[in-house]
Amino acid sequence: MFGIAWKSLRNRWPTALLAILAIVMSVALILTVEKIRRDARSSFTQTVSGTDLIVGARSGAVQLLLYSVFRIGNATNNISWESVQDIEQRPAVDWLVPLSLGDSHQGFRVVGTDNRFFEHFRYGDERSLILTEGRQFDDVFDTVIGSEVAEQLGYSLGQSIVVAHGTGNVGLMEHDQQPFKVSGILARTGTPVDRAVHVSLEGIEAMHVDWRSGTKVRGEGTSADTIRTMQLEPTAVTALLVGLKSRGTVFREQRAINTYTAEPLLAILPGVALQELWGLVGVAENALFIVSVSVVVCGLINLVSVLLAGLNERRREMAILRSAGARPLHVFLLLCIESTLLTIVGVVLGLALHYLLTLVGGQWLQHRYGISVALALPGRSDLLILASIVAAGLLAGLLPAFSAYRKSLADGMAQRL
Amino acid sequence: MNESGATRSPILEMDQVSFTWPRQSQPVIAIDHFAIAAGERVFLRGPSGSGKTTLLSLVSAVILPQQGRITVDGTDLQALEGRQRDRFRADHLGLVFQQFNLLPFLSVAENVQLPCRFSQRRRSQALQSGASLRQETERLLQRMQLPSDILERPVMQLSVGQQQRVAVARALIGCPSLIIADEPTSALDRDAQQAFIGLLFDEVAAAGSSLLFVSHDETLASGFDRQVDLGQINSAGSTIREHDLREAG
Repeated sequence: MFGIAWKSLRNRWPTALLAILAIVMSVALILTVEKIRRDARSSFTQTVSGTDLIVGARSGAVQLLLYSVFRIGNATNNISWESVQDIEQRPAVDWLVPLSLGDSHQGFRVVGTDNRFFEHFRYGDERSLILTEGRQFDDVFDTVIGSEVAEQLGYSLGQSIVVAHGTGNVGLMEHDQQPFKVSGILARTGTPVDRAVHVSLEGIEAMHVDWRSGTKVRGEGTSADTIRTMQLEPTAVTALLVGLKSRGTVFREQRAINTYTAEPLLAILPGVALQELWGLVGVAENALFIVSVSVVVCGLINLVSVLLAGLNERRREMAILRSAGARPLHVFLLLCIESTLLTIVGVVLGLALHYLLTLVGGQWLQHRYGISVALALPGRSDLLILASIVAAGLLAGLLPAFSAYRKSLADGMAQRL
Repeated sequence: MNESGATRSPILEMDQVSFTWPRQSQPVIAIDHFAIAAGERVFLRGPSGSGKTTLLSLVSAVILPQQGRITVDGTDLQALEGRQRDRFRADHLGLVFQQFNLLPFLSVAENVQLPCRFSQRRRSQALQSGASLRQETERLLQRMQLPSDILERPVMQLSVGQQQRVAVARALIGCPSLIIADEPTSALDRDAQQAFIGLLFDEVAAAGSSLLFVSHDETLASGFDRQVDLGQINSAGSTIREHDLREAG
């Protein structure tokens, strides 16, 4: 029966191909959507760990989380250096890492910070950053670059780079008087750190020495050596990552910062803000999932309609089989095998297309949004999805199979042409 | 080749058979008695509308009569359940239709061997006759005077005459007791018709089967053991009265 089903399908390959194609697309879509959803979540969750509070100018919790950690969007305001010092002196605070954002290099964000960043920043499962080459900041013009920056721009230690004001890619004014040098390269983390150019807070101040109100002052500019002798205390930073001595004090500290009177500040718990983010994204995720399921359903409906439409033309085929001794049950089985075969081929090819999409689209996603989409064997939930699609295909195939069964009972061996 | 006892008892016997299609008041088939002996070749003349298709459906146990009894090769068809009837048909009957007998997506050999997929009995009988299914297929095709390179060819490349001969080879494989041929020559030209019937006779005889040959064309009737007019045996027929009834010896 299997051989007959296969050969019969092969004989009708254009329609069979269309039926398969619809399934391939739907399977690839649902798998890819699921994959991106899961990887985005884990990628986001992996990005912050070990940080008790994130502090920024007062805005939304999600917004603060997005720009401070994921480097998506921009800050509305800064935190003055006085506030930073105040927070640092709070007895409950163990450490803090200042972050100063707003500049870029070749499309990669420049993050002003200090050596505490390398010491305290944790990602994934409490992992700390590792320098594969070079050292942390030693000089005002030292930069430590993420692995992807090094890889994509082909930078190695000692490379001098120029930083642009703003965060776009082209047409930006460059801080070209103060060349920075790559002093260290970080190991790959799978987080936005990979795509950041880290410079010291003093470096950020240094490159703005000749700038007033966002534009460059005319003239030769100040030389690097002169800058090194200058007092380069930062006036403001964009956000702070705060670690507390005891986690138990986190809500008290959060409230204290939120009610800080000298400046409107916002402190968030990364986990809580992430939950809030999922709450926002969840609606879109569900919508996407429903759409992908609908596409699968459409693919299966198409399969059924292709098989049903074919039945009339295939009455002769059924009659020949019946006259050669096939029972109506055989005809039923034949149709079931056909639909299952089409579904399985569709699912397998869909899986292949999904991997192709992941392979091609993954790099773009990583580059563009910092979501690392890794090639992986289908997980349990993927297999569950695939199995339910095959099961649904089998179920859907029952309809034309039953129709063929009834027709072959009614027609017998009569060749109604 | 069949059991020797079969030569005495008839292969097909119909007694007091009456059949009415659902939602019709008049029966289409009402046959007092009709029988085919083992090894007999019967020409059944039946113009369209004489209940020919219904009769063949009855004989091949696709439908059951409301009244009467049909026995094929000693088996009372009414005593069989649906699945048994399908099994019985696969085991005992070889069918050849007017045309389009073959599945276009199978090769010639696969088409010929089709009944052996569904009937264990046909399969084992075919294997008794030849060393392998393939050998038996080759033998039958050769006997039907088809070229030996035809086996793996797609059936769409064959002429209509060749296709009909492949259909006969399929009907004959595994030596079923009764071959039913429904207008098998109507798609052939006259010369081919005679040649076809000649081959059919030879091979039906070689297989030890009986033959029920149905056609509206009585010029083909010569050479058969017996000629029967469906209109004569079927008292329910409507279009047959005006026809000249001819009894065959």
